[in-house]
Amino acid sequence: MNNLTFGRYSPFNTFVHRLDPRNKLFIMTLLLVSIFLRVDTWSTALIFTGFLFLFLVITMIISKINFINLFKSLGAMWVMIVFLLIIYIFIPNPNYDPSHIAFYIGGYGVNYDAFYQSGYIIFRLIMMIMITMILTSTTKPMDLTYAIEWYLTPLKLVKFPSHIVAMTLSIALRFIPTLLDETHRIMKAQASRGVDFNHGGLIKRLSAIVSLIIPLFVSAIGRSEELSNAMEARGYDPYGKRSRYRVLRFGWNDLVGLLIGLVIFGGLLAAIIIDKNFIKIDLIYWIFGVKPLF
Amino acid sequence: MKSVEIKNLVYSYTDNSPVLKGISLDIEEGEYVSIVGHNGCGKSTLCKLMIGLLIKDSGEILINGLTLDKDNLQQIRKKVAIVFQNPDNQFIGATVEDDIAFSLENDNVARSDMEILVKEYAAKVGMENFLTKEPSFLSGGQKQRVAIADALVRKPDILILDEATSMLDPNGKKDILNLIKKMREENPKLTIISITHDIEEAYLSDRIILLHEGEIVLSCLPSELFNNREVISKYNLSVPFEVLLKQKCLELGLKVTEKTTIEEIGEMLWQLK
Repeated sequence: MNNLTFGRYSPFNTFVHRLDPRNKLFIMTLLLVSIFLRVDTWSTALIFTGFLFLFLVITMIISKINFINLFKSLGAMWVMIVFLLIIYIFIPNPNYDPSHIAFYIGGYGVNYDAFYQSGYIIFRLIMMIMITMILTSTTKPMDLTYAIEWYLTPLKLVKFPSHIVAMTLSIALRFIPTLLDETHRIMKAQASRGVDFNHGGLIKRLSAIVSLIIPLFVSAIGRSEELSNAMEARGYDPYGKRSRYRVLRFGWNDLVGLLIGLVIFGGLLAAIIIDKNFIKIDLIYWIFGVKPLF
Repeated sequence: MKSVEIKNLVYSYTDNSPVLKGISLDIEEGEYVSIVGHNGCGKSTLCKLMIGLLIKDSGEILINGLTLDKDNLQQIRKKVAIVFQNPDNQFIGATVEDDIAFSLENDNVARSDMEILVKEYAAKVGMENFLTKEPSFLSGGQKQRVAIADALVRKPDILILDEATSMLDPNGKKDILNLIKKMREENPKLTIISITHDIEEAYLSDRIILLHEGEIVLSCLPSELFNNREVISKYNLSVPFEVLLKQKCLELGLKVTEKTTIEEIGEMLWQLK
């Protein structure tokens, strides 16, 4: 519960930090989609993925993100990696080239393609984590809320209360540290009454958790009542006209960032379309004149 | 001019037992009134009624001569500001400046004015260096100072403090009391209604109203209340240090009056043989 280091906002003033949160959210979405676009020719896929990876590493360096945090979050992924390897190796796939057998396990041929496929997936997952990390460690949660509110604005046409959703989100974010403190306090209070959160079987631990959750909920509901009183007393009317203190600005650096994102996304999309419909793009063969192994 | 007029106010949470049993009370403009009483005597209920968070059963509340009802609720809330007990549960913005701006956003104030007002009122409560700080980096007293800025930034005529100092440490409490003093000097027209358990704090006010089981028992000067031993023992109130000191001095035969300050008593005491 204390381990919230992943993707926590770190206050620096870099190029990435200064980007408009709406723009940043859009660029990151573009990059996320780019990662999961699939190029069929494996050598080209390799080069593109490597390029994206390098780009993300550079972005991380620019935005002064500590790589240790990335490795920490990868530590939790090993279960997934093993799971993926097992799935890809032992589930036969008709697309694998039958001549690419690496070794046999009890008469079952393990294909090279299986390793390649699972490695590719894992690599893409890592890049996904990198993108989320870049987004959350360079953007204040509250700025993200403003961005989300902006993207929800068109829904106002169908009477969707986007400003209320944004207010709810921002209050939820505002109360995370307060409720965490509360959780620690209740845990200590219950531990001093003899509740053991760390030992015992599943049932025992679950019942210990109940003794944490119920007081937490009771206090959260009490808080929300007081909060709504305070908001009302200060004249909050969700349907009334409100002005805005925070203004988001789309600047020059945003244009640069957006262009980079669009070029990457567009380039990849173009490569895929050409690869699928016209000629096989095989960068390794073109550059080095070497026909790939498979 | 009367700031608050309350006529025969009755309110009950459940059907059978009213919390407020017909309260009538006038508060003048610029007055600093403390409402004291034990838990459950209806103090907080009274101030929630005054700001329209609860709807009265019967009776009448007039704020600046305007009757409080559903139609002019927003109008009255612009005139009455309230600071609650828990500093955490009234901090709405992500940072100090956002929190002060929240009140202004509700009043639809233009952005350019907001920037000036936020800075001005943060400076008034001594929080101008904390504008971009988040609540988790602030102490209780600092958060409560921000809450006072939130209340004052709407330029209210009446400020209600609902046990605003009860969750603070002694330093935080002292800060808030000094702030109240400063606010009264700056704006003598501001009416302050303070609900409090703290007897020292109540002693600073112009008038004390003692509530007991939903009725007003006494409404008088602080010194009158605390020198009235009958009432003190009947309602089990504690007595502020200054009053106790003066009583002891009188027993010793020193010439102490209402107006004698603690410093003057000190002068008298060291000269005793």
